[in-house]
Amino acid sequence: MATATAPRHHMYLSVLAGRAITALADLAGDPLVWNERVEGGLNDGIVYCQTIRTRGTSVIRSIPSDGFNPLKRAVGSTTSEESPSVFAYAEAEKVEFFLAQLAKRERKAEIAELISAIKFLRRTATNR
Amino acid sequence: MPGSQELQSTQSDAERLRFLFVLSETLEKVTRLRQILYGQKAFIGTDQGDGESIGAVDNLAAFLEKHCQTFLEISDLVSAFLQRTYLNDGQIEAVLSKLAILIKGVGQTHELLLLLPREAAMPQASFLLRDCLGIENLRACIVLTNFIVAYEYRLADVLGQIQIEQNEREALTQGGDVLCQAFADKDNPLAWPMLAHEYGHVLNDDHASAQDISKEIVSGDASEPQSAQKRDSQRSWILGVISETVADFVAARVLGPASLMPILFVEMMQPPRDKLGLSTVHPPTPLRVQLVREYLASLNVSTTDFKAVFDAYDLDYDSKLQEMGEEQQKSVDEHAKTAEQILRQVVDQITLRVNALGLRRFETEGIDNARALQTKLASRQPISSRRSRSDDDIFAGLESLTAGKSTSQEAYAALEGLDEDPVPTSEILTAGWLYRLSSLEEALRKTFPGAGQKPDLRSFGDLTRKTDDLLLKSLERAAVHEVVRRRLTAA
Repeated sequence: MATATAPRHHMYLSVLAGRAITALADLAGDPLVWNERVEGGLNDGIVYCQTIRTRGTSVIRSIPSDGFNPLKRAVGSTTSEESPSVFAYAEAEKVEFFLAQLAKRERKAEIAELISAIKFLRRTATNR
Repeated sequence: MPGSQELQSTQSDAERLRFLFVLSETLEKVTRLRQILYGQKAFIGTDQGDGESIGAVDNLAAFLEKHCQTFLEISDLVSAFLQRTYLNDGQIEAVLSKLAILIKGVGQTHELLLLLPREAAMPQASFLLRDCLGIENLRACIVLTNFIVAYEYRLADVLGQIQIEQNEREALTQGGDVLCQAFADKDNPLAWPMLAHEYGHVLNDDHASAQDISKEIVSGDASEPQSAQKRDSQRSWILGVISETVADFVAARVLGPASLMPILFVEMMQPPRDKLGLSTVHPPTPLRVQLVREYLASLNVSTTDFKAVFDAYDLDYDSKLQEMGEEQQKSVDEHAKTAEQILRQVVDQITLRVNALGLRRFETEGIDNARALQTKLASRQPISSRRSRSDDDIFAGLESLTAGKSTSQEAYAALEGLDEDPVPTSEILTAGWLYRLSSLEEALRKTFPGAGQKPDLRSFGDLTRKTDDLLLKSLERAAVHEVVRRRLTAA
């Protein structure tokens, strides 16, 4: 039967990141919009960031960086030289704070901030 | 994946096409994975009633579905993008990021398909290789595997990597070379040109005839001891890039410009980090594309019908390069320059050697023929055969027959006009690619209708399946037709 390359709870993190991006996309279209999808998405994003922070190292390193790479020979070694966990922790904390502020409706999001948060979610969700 | 900053509201055609190509490729993979998982579930349920195994397949299916559903949450934005409606930077970034996450999910699902039972390569893949290469007794098997080893490794390479004893390696490969194919492309003939590339490696270092084209080009000596080669990593790299170019030219010679399409689509799906790392074996893809296009031009084969893909790929490569750090950009540039310098010195020799392999070539008129077949494919007909004479010519021949006056030979000669010839498989694949490129935007618009309507992935899936079926049917019929015709001719 199928073989697993990553624990199941890690795999579903990308879905949480995806939902958070949906919420941020909604806010990019209308900064004042507020509904169940936005609220739920922001909360999913907070959970995602918390997981990245608390499990940063193991989550990020649990799968080789070239785990999904149909062009293995084409790209050679793609192992990242930087230490993702250090950056990920600090960034995750920052994005989590931002999402929490949005979830509490304490502030209006600027496009640049939304883009920055989306980029973080995308990078961490696809680099694992 | 496309970078965000390029996809502004004033997207160029190449930028827009790049997004369409990546989106369509991803949705195709989703369709194919769903099909495989559904089939597996049916198999397990029928054979064993094994609840645990079904549960495992269900988990995979659920994982894929969750990623699809998460992506579809922003289907209104995707629809707006397809309709060229204005999107701000945040929305564009969101669309691209959601697509990147879906691609990741698709890749992860595919990796978990390893060891699934009851999946086998389609016989049409062998028909294709045999016909396009023109090698009657092709000693190569095709096995399904995950994306990591798919297409890029022959079994001999894998065995070499794990340092298995030479005598055991020979025993394991005596059945012929083994080409690996991704599960997801099992039913997708448009991805199979990669197999022709891999067979190019077999021809490059043909153990049976002790021929090693790349070594002979570098040193004129094919019998250099392995240990000496290993000591010189630079030389090994040079041999690698020459070998890849030989394989590229082999695939291009037999399949024409369609030979380049799968690699460009797969690469456009890759995130920047994975895309441009320094290769230990392959020349940079833009250089490969350039050399293959020049090679095809030397064969008088046009590549202009695929210009949109080349343009989108160039844009994709450049934007991924821009996302890299300055130092890495510099390394990539140096790598590209070195590879080009080396290959430019030997490209004429590679051309001569590949042309001398006696392979069936993609004819100059192959593109024109493929365009005609594309029209037929669009009307949902198989494209396995065609008449060599025009309808007018056939009618004229038939009308010239007069009862009681025409001889039986004259009658047979007129009737022969109705005979059909099998279409070369290279033209079938080229027509398939032309059809895909011409139809994907409309298919995506149907999938993401917008205006408050729900997205419909089934519509895209139907098109994918129907096109697969038509191409598979065409390849099979062309193979049978060729065998029957040969026997009749022999008789």
